[in-house]
Amino acid sequence: MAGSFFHFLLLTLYKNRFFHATTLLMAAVLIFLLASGLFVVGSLQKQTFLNLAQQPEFVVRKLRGGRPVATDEQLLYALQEIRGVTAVRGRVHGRYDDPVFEDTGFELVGIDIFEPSLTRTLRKLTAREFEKLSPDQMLVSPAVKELLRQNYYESEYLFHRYEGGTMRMEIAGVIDRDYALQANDVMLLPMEKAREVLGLPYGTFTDIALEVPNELELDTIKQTILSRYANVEVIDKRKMAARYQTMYDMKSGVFLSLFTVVLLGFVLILYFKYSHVLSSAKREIGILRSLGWSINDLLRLKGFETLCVGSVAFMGGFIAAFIYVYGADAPLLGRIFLGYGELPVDYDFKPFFDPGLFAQLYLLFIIPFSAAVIVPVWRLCIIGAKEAMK
Amino acid sequence: MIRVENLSKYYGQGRERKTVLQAIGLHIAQGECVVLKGVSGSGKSTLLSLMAGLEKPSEGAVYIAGEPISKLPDLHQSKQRNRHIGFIFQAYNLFEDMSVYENLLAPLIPRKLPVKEVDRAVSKALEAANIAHKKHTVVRNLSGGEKQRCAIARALVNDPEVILCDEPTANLDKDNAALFTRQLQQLKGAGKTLLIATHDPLFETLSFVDRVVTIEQGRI
Amino acid sequence: MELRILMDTGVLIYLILQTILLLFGTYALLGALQILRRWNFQATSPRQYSLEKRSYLVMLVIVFLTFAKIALFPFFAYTLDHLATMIPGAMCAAGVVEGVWFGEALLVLKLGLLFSGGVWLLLNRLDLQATDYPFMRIKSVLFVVIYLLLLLESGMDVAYLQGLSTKTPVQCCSVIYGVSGEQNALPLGLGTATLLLLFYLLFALQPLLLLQRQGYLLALANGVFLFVGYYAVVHFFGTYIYELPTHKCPFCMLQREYYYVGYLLWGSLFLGVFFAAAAAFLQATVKKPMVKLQRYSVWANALFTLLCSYFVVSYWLKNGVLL
Ligand SMILES: Nc1ncnc2c1ncn2[C@@H]1O[C@H](COP(=O)(O)OP(=O)(O)O)[C@@H](O)[C@H]1O
Ligand SMILES: [Mg+2]
Repeated sequence: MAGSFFHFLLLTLYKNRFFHATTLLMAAVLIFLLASGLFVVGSLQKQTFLNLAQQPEFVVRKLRGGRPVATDEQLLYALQEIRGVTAVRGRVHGRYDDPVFEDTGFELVGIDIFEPSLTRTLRKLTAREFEKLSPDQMLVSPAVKELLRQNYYESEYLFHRYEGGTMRMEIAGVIDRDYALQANDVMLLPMEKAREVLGLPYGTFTDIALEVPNELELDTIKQTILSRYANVEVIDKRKMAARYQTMYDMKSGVFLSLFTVVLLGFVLILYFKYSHVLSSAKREIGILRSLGWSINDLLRLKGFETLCVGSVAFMGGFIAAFIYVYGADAPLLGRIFLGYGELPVDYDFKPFFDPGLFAQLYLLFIIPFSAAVIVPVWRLCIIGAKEAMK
Repeated sequence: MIRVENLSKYYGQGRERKTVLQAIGLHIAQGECVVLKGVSGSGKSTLLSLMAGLEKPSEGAVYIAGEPISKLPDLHQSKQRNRHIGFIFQAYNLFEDMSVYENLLAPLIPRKLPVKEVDRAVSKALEAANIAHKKHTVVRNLSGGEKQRCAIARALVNDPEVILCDEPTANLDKDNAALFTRQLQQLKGAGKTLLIATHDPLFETLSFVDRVVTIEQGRI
Repeated sequence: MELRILMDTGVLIYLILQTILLLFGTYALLGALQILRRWNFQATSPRQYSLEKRSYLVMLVIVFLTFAKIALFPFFAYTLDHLATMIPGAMCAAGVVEGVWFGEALLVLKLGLLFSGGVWLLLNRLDLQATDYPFMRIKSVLFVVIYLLLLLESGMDVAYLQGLSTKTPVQCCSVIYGVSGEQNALPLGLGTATLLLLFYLLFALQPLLLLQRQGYLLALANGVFLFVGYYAVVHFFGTYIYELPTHKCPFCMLQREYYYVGYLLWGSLFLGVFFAAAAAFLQATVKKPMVKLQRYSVWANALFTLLCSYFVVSYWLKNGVLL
């Protein structure tokens, strides 16, 4: 019965535990590295797309000489009239470089306290503190808060106005850590104050966000805008999504290609390791042959042995990677993929099990693993029993 | 029971060719006990492995219970060996770091029996070889005589008709060798066909030996 | 091949694995050719003995190859599904398959390869059970055929991936299979009711044929069942999986939203048809009815039918109406 077979399988596995342990360890480390890398990329990708989903379908900017310039309210009202557009919102945002902090800039975003149709993202970002915000208060990201604190701006910060002079703002709170990926260097301040710092005239915007609920109307609306206004640029969310997708696909692809080379090395090591099995293993085969085991029986035993070792190593490496990335937020490795910005990104990886990725990695590992041992195992199983027992 | 017809075995090819067995004919009836006598290197082990289908003949054939074991594919050869032949070796060839019970499990696995029958077969063989009290002892911790009895139990566990022994007493002291011959006698009493390859003169004097065949440079 | 497509995790893994399999296949091919030329079971020569040992390696490699291919087929489907996110217009694998003119042919070839591999495994079993390797030659010839198919498949894989473009839009499944689609029309002008009647009748016929030991008829019935089952799922049962009367697609059910149920559904149909056809093929080769395989076929088809019906019944229980 199968019971005795598996009993015996466990016995032989245990018997050769030192031989298997080294294989197991090497394989598990390999899987760990690969899986962690792909988890990190996958997780970042997922978060990016979640963020992107919150963005408006189109962003319209005015251009002059090919460069974006401030947009006035007339355009905003005109865009509102286009059929199919449900919400139009002027946005104020831009780069602010503090002369004190070298090489460090902030992303200033103006928020209109009286604007009911705040972007979905901003509303989420500021869910708690937004209502209480007064005109000389602002919210910052955790990384910005930390940077300011290190420079003795504990509770307030001094801006240099575009037109000259300074402006004092109170730091009222920090935004959620979940948005670190997209808003790591962000400062949220009332729209009018943001205009003062960025140098936008009263009543103008950096750009205009359009929301279009019906997917089928997207192309028509885009065409309408482009044909009506020669001097505007329409930024399409779908294009952005495609660009992000490419970026992440390339990241995992390059990582995987590098890994393939390592895998090849591992397979070679495995081949030589299994080719130079100890004479005790040969003796074992000889004894089993004399007891009436067929070559098929032996191949089955060895096949299960390989599958067990490979699968256990895979599971070990995979689970370790899962814990490392989602439990410990991938120290070191996360850096490589997040990149070193000016401010360190403190990112929280959300656990996500993707059965597709699991199956992909398992196949990528187990097929070369089995392939590496096929010939050595066969050579072992067909040796004459008489020779083996000497 | 065992019929060997015109059996030859060469190793190597061309000028390197070495003849180990030459046109051997032998017939052993059921229940017979035959001693195969010869000096070291005369081809005894080779003949035994050919009989068990562990090696393939260069010429001729071997029949066990009427089946041409030397002409069968490996799967069937192994099945024949598993059902009909029990091996006892000079070096015991036990799995040293497994228990007696686990050693006896090995020959039963290709038969894919239900657990109950496996246990019954193991118990029966342990009783017959008089080693039941050491069932769960690891083989490494057994004495030479106990190892030999364990090897006998393993050879018996599939209840084969034929027992092939290759130098069974070479590693045993006098007392254990005597004990072993007594067990062989019991096996003969149970109707087993015995073939003992040895150069030990001890076997020539035994009463239950029906025939002594001498092998010399691959010829009988 | 566009770099984007090449660098997709699934595509990259698939190509690596396919390369390994092709290399091993070539290795086995050499063995198989040697067997074809020199095999003589009656001989007692060292060459024949080493050939017998060699045949185990060939066998091992082919078994490995077949199992790997069985695993790689759903993997390929999954990869196509993922490519749908890159290819404009495609919502699921349907658009990706249609993205190159021989996409469907490639899928059929892959299924054919699985089929031949499966038949080889069964033949091998029979061969090992006999006492004189009666099918060694047939097995070797079959493997040469399998190898050629594998070669063709690999070539087509590369050509296919090369043909995919992330710029040219393709059609989505609702266009290909939907109301206005070219493949919308049921063959022979069947209506949905007739189709379903045929479906269940064919299913009920199979146990009867099994009891009558009509292996060839069972295979024939399965051949028809394959087509009827396919259309029934796309045009009727599928809409219950999607819970949307207009959603007609054989691929979307492979996605996570539908708990990957498509793999089980199509897998059971393929197995059912495979066992019946393999049984007939072996019956013709061995001249003995393969009752066990026929029984497997009926069981697999029963699973398929049950699964199909389940979605309809569960929808009806939940909503009190049919679509
Ligand atoms: N695999 C082999 N290759 C070459 N020569 C062998 C092989 N096996 C055994 N022999 C030779 O065959 C002869 C008989 O060996 P063996 O059957 O072990 O003798 P015995 O068991 O009687 O001592 C020896 O001379 C040995 O060197
Ligand atoms: Mg010897």
